[in-house]
Amino acid sequence: MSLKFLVREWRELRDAIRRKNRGKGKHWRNRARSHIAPDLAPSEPIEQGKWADMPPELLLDIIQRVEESEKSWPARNAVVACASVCKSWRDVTKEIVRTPEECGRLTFPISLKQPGPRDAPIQCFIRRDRASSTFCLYGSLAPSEDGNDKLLLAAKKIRKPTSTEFVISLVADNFSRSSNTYIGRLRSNFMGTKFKIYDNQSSDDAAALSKSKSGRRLHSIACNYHTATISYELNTIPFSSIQEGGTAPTPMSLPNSVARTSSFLVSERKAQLARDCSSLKFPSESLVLKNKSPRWHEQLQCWCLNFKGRVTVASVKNFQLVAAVDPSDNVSEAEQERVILQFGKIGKDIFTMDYSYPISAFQAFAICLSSFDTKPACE
Amino acid sequence: MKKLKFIGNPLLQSREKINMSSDKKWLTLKTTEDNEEFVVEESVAIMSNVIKNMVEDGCASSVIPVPRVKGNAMGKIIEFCKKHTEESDEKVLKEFDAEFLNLGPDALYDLMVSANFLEIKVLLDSVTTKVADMIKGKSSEEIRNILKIENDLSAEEIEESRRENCWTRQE
Repeated sequence: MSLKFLVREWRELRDAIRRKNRGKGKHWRNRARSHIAPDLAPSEPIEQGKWADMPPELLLDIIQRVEESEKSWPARNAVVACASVCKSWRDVTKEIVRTPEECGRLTFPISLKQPGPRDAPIQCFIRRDRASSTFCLYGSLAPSEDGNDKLLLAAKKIRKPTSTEFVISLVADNFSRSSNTYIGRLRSNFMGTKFKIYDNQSSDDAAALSKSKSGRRLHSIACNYHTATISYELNTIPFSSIQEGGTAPTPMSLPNSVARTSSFLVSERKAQLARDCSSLKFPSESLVLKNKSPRWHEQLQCWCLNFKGRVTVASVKNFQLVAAVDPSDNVSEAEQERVILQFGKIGKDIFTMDYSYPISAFQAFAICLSSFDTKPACE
Repeated sequence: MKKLKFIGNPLLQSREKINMSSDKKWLTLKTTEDNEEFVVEESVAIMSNVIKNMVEDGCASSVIPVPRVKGNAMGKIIEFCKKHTEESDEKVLKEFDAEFLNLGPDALYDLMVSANFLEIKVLLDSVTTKVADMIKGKSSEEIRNILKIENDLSAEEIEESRRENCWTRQE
């Protein structure tokens, strides 16, 4: 039986299951809709107190003081609270808060879909719960002693007959796709060689990844280096984003259930299996990330990757991703060497994830989740 | 009946005595909203940039009318400026400010807009810092209750803010 025949059979099986679930899904989605009574929006102009109508420069001064002093979580809740007081306060707060690229801090949920900072990565960790097949991303260097870490995103792994899916949400107790905390999902094909992200953002901002894999994976500390290629194409981030003066797409608001666009596939790329990266062809407009090549350590007599203390346990899952660049591209050597995403183990079911420009926390988390999807085709 | 307040030596009874017996320069500030007059040392009054400019431009010979500032706010402002002119110990000033700003939201608001209008940076910074500290650690509902603000967000904004607050409560 040829591979082509098998693939066709699996596709037909998958489509049949989809058709069957479509009817069920709609009903389930309606039933699962939130029943929290919404706050009533005012229909007539409201008479406001003086604190809502104060001179704008004073409101700016006050909220700026709050923002500048409450840099880390959970104190940073104060900034989000200011944005929920009333219209004038919301406008001023949104004006003051800068993107993660500009200030290195996450403030609103939309920060999770905005590119990270250029100069230093945002450092997070992921905790895996095998029992419930959930993965939680926290905005701290490592788990704190009091367990008071800021949850950024949560994912639930769902095994399906011909694929595995990770549903990604803002909260760890609700993975319903009809909820306004739903952020997106990551889906792999049966072979575990291709992954796609479905983003609930609008068509201008959606990201899709594909992963093509060949050869063996690199170890993080003492590695056996073969011609391994693990690469990710992010076809909504232009290659120009890593060139001098380049910018990456920065969405400014999350869609809500009132104006939500449905999730969709941006483009499908056929998996190109090849022995080494140079023979892989990607459109030059898209940013491609590849795993960083280790360096030979003369004294230790092994190939090493420098995780700068953020990875402490050897694991096949550990990796560093840099931009895949041709010598002819206008990208500095420093930029070529810069680690855009780093992921690695520090304990049982605990992994660090450090990401920087031009990818977002959501994209970084999705890439890391793909490494948790163990399949027959993968080691 | 005009009210005349002497901020300075309580033994002196009239303006003439002040001018004759003191080598300090004195100014009279009059709040036009409620016609209260305050006699205050020039060195204290010029903590306000607005008054300082008037003095330097030579327009401050007689009574200086001060619009938009109420009498009780003016009294508090002068008390603050006097303390900050006389005292140089940072620790003492800090303790004074903490006690001085122990006011309700209405009084704080009047003080803040008045300090802003009169351009008294030290006082304005202290008041806005105090307000920021009052807000920190409070939910948006609590902030609205304390400051008597009505929620005028649109339906879309309300949904967005609920998602944001749902996310921030996750630990």
